[in-house]
Order: sequence, then structure tokens, then C-alpha cells
Amino acid sequence: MKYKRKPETKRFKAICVVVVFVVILGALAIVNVAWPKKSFSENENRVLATFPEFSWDNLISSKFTDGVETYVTDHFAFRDVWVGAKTMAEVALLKKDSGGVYFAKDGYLIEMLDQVDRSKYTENLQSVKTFAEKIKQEFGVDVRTMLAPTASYSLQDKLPPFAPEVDQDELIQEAVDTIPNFVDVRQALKDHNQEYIYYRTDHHWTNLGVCYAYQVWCQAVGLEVKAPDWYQQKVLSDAFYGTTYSKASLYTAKPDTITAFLPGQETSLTVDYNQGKKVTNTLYETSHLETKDKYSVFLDGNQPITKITTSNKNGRKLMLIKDSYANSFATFAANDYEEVYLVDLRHYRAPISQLVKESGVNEILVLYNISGFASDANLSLLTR
Amino acid sequence: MVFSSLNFMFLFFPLVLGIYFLSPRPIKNLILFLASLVFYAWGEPIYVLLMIFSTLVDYFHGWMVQKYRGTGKAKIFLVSSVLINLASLGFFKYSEFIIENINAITGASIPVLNLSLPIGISFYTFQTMSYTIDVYRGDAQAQRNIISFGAYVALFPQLVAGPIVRYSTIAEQLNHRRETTDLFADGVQRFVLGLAKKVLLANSIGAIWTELSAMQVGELSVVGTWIGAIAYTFQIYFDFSGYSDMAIGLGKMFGFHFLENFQYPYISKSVTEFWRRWHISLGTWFREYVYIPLGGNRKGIPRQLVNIAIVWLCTGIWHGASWNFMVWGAYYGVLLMCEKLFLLKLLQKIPAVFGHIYTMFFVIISWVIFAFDDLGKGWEYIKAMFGFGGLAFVDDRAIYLLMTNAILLVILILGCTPLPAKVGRTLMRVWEDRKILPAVVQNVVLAGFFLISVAYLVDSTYNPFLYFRF
Repeated sequence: MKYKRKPETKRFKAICVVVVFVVILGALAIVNVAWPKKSFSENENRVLATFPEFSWDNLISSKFTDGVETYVTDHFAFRDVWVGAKTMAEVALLKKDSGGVYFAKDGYLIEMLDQVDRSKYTENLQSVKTFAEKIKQEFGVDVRTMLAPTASYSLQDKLPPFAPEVDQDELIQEAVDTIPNFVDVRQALKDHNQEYIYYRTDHHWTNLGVCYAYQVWCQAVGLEVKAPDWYQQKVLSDAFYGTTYSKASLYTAKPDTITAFLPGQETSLTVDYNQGKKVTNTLYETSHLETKDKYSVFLDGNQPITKITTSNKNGRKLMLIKDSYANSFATFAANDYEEVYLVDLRHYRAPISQLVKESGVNEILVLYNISGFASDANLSLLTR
Repeated sequence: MVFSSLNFMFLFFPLVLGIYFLSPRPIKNLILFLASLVFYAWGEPIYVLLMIFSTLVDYFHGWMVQKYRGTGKAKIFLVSSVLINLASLGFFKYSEFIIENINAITGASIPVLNLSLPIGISFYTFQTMSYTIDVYRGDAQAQRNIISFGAYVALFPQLVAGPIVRYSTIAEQLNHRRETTDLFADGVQRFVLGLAKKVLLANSIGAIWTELSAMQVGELSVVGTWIGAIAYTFQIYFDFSGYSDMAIGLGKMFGFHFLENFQYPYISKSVTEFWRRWHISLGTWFREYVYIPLGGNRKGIPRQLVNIAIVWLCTGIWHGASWNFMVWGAYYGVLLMCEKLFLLKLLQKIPAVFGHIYTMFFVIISWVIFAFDDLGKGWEYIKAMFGFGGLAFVDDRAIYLLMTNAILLVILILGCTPLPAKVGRTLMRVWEDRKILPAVVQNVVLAGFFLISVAYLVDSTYNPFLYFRF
């Protein structure tokens, strides 16, 4: 009896393995061929690969097969589910980061800043310095600079232990020592690090964070300092999943809330995008709230050049040379200035000094987040 | 194509599997041959012609060697076959290296050819050489059927990264193999475990090495450099042996029995033992076709040392056209000579733990030499590992990496030992009399590994395959 059963059991086990494997393999293969294809991945914020065109040239140069490879990966059925499963497996292994993002405390997904190209950073600081001296000399206008620390600095307490972060204090100190009129917002943000000053799932600061930084700015340029409760706060979205969410793909994260900080009284303004290409009368492009990229609600995201004209008649004209951190900052400045220009060097190509001259601005702020500033490749355009 | 790609697993492989098992016996080899050509041409649309050329040349030579066996003509055909194989390997793999060095030494400016290396050429030329040599020695009969021979040369499971299957090993199986359910199930298990080793373990730990080796040595700490070196040590083992497992598993599904390529190398107590357990098919190849023909250990110690030197120079060169591989080969040659002369005797006298430590120490250092194409950088890294780089002993990054990878490291260490396999076997023995339970456990484990591996593959564009270059 026993002799008979053993090979039988073995055979049963073998059949099970074969059946399970063939079923899984076949099912996934069929589902992947049959699954409807998307052309855009919201979560990754990019267009997915299209099926490559077949030609002999493409075949010989491997373009065709490479294309198929990318196509299959890009359109793998339930892609987000697989990716999320991978992250969960890593969490189970006690990993503390994924895709360059820390799983920090209190549900925060904080972008790592573990390496900075120091020579590039110093070079960028020099560009700003040269620019500031030139503008001061030519137009008598002060160029101020604000480098916003990122969440991994301001919310240090939330990072996993021994997180290998660069010393943002040291970086900012170098800026303080190099550039005239540096506006240092480190302390202001640190003082409020128990508040909701950065998005949990995005690399930007929230409007509350901006509000505190803007207070420092007001002090520096002699404007009235306003507390957060001076503003009328209005929730624009409570379903914001930002960039660090996409990078970490930790799908258990909770969504962020985007809040607009509006002045108490009604004001009127016009916003002119790209020298007349589009003119509106609001700082908020609410159509973006329907998409993944909700932070673009502030002044329509990154545009080459934007001009805000307000009903303030105080003669103060501010130019922001900036990255996306300034888009929300500008919604605050609109309360205090007659005109606010936003210039994005990554997209704007004409000489800045000419723009300074033509616009007649009397205050300039170079505003970046420290991580973006350190790796920016366009700051040398300032000195043209 | 590599096995650990979604393309292979959910497009190519199911199709080939279906067609293969639906085809009648006489055309099964043809199906394998064609599938292998597609597999190869997928990444190397031009070089597939080179492989076909190589196949035809060796088919013809094998035939001639057999026809003239025992006469001088057989020897001529043997030499001609070996020369053609070595010439094509030399031309595609080493010409750029040779020209660059000639230019550097003589100041000449011979233009480099900028050839890309045909995938797997180091593996399949060694296989085809084994064929003519085996036929010459009478260890195997020449293959009459060009399709069967083509299937041997191009066989996709072992095409790009081995194991290097000697012709005599599978001569019989080429025309008389049986695909069985048991063998197929074994193959599935082997393939899935290999996939998990490659995708879950090698890639994960490899990410650490990629991160650390991309940094300037000066930005690391001493502990950091060791974490990097150990990470690479794990990566290369799980990557390569995982790939071999997948190859062996796929072979089984199609009814082939390949020989083992790895036998827990990191539990060795000496470097000599390590090389009996690491990349066994390559070691066997060099022993069979170089070391023993040179006289092996039968002609006295001095001659044996020379033979070791020759074999290890060849082994180094085989691994790549770059000076670090020569140094790497020489390094092992010297270690093995020392062991032959006195170290082995010494190691046998002391407690085994010292043997393990000694072996892993030299193996880890060897992988650092192996990892850096630029000898200067490798040297700088090794110096830093021993505190000659002026680095801090430990930094946040090192502690952070250790803490966040602690579980992975434990899994990797256990994975290097026979322990997991032993546990599996014991469980199956305990449940011998039960029918359902072992089947459920086995399938849950395998399906789990497979699905998580797929998740990792879908997630990552990070899927470099280390042994492609060789």
C-alpha cells in the first residue's frame, strides 16, 4: 500500500505545480494582450509608449524590439496594483524609502536629498551674485534671494533615524555668505514644523508654509506682516496625491488638502500669461483640480512668464525669478504689490536685464527650493 | 531578451511552450532552434547571423573531424575549428581592447572599431569548441542533424549566460529526451526560485551597490565601502546563480538535464573549494580542455604551477576585455598556487570558521577588483576599505543602509547556505504521507514568489543583467 501511494502523491504534487504555473502564466499572458490600453499614466504623469512601427530598419537597429519591450512594460495590466504590491513588500522588509522618497512619520512621504552637486550649487550662487551686482549697478534695484529648505530639512524630526541627508544648513549658510540680501526662512519654517507646512505626498510647501515664509519676506522689505488667520482660507481640493506619492507608490498614503489663502476683502486683478497668450482674472486655474497635477492650480503651473496686475496702487512692482515653489508664493504677493512678474528660467529665454528694464520692476526676488536650485542648469542665463 | 523580463515571461515563453508541446516529436528540435533564433535576434538582430555562421562552421568541422578520425586531417580540422572560434571571440570581444592598448603604448592612432559585444558569444563559442574537441576525442559522435546541432548551439535557456553545456553532456538528450510532468514540475520550481533570486534578491541588494559605487569614494565611510563590497558580492552571486537556475529550470521543462553551475560557493572553506562551487561549468571547461591537456598536476609541482597560471590568465581574460579582469584572474591564480603549495594544509589544521572568514575575505576583495573597470578606481576603493582613504569610520548613510536592509541581509546570508533547501526537503519528508497539504504549501510558496517577482519587474526599470557583458 505504502509503496503505491508515494509515487502517486509525488505525481499529484507535480501535476499541481504544472497546472498552477501554466494557469498563472497563461492567464497573465492573455489578460495582457486583451487588456484595454491607456495612453497616459496619471500616476506617473507621463505618456505611455505606443506600439513601435515595424520596418526593417527598426528591426535591424533593435528599435522595434526595444519598443515592444517598453510597450509591454508600460501597458502591463493592473500596473499600479503590481507597483503598489512591490512597495508593500518593501515596507514589510522594513525598508524606509522607495523611489528616492522616505516613508516618514505622520504619513509623510518626504523626498530624499542625499546628494548635491556642490560645484554646480556654488556656480549657481555665483550666477545669482553676479546678476544681483549687475542689476544693482544698472537699475539700482535690490535683488533678494530666498532658498526654501525642503521638507527633509524643516521636518527633520519626521525622517527615519540616520537618514543620509545633506546638510541643508551648510548649503544655505554658503548662500548667506555669498549672496547679498539673502532672505533666510529656515527658522520660520522650523518654528512651525508641527504644523501642516509641507504636503505629505508632494515635494512642495503648503500655503501655510508659504504664509510663514512670506512673513519673513514682508519683514525684509517693510510690508505689513500678516498672521495666517488674517486670510480667508478656502479648501480647493482634499484629494491631492502629489509627486512623492507617485515616486514612492505607497498607496496607503492619505491624500493632501490644497488650501487657498484669500484676502479678506474682494480685490480685482488680471493675470497675463506669456505676454498676452492668455489673460484671466484669477490666480487659480481650477481646471487642474480635476487632474493629477493639482498643484498647478496656482497660476497655471510653470509658465515662461506671467504678469499679475492688481488693484493696489502703491507703485511696488515685484519680479520673481523662480521655480514652482514661487507659484503659491505669488498668490500672497498679489495682495501687496501692484504688479508681480513670474519668470521661469527653465522656459523663458530672453535676457532678464532687458525684462527688468522694460517692466520697470523695483523689487526682485530669486525664489527656488534648495534642491531645485542646486541642480538647476539655467541659472547662468541670469548673467547674460 | 532576458528571462527576467515581462516580455519573455508573458509573450515569448508562453508562445514557445504552447507551440513546443503541441508539435509532433520530429519537429520539436526545429521549434527550439527557431525559438532560440528569435530569442537571440530579439536583442541582436545582426549578430544572429554570426551565431548561425558559427553553427554552420562547427557542424561542418565536427563532421570532418569524425570522418577523418584517427588521421592527421582530423587534427587539422580540430585546430581550424578552435582557431575560427577563438578568432571570432577575439575579434568581437577583444579587438577594441587590444587596439586601445597598442595605441596607448606605441602612440599610434589605429581607429577602434566600436563593435558592440554579441550577447553570449563567450558562452556559445566555448560550447561549440567543446563539440569539436569532444568529437575529436571520441567522447561524442558528430551530430548528423543540422537542426539538432543548431538547437544545441542556440538553445535559448543557456544561450546568453550559460551554464556552458558541454556537448557530450547533452548529445544523447538532443535526440532522445523525454519531457515528463515530474521533470516539468521540477523545472517550474527551479525557474521560479531562480527568478526570485535574481529579481527579489540580486536586484534589491544591487541597488545599494549602484548607489554607493556611483558616489565618489571620498564621500563614503569605511563601513560604507564594506557595505558596498558585500552588497556587490551578494548581487553577483544571486544574479548569476539565479540566472543559471532559471536556465536549468527551463531546460528541464523541455526535457533537458543540464549540469549544476553553482553549489553554494559562499560556504567554502578555501578558495580552491570556492572555485569548485562557483560557475562550475566554466571551471570544468577550463579543466577539461586546458588544464588537463597541459598536463594538469601529473608533471610535477613546477609544471602544475605554470598550468594554473595559464588557466587563470585565460579565466581572467574570458571575463572581459579590460585590465581589471586580468588582475582578477592573476589574483585567483596566485591564491590557488599558495593554497596548492602550503595554505590548504594549514587551513585543514585550524578551525573551519577561519577557513570561511579567509575565503570570504579574499572573495569580497576579488569582487571589488572585478567591479571596477578602472583599475585606479578599484584600488582607491580597496584602500578606502582598509582605512587608507582618510574616511570616517562610519556615517549616517552606512547606518541607515544597515538598518533598512537588515532583514534583506539576513535573507541573503541564509540564501547562500543550503539551509532553505534543507528546510524544504525536511518539510516534504515530514508530510510524505499527506497528499493535499504539501501540494498546497509548495504552490502557495512558488506562486507567491512568482507573483512578487512579477510585481518587482513591473515596478522596475532597474533590471540590469550583470553577466551580459561576458
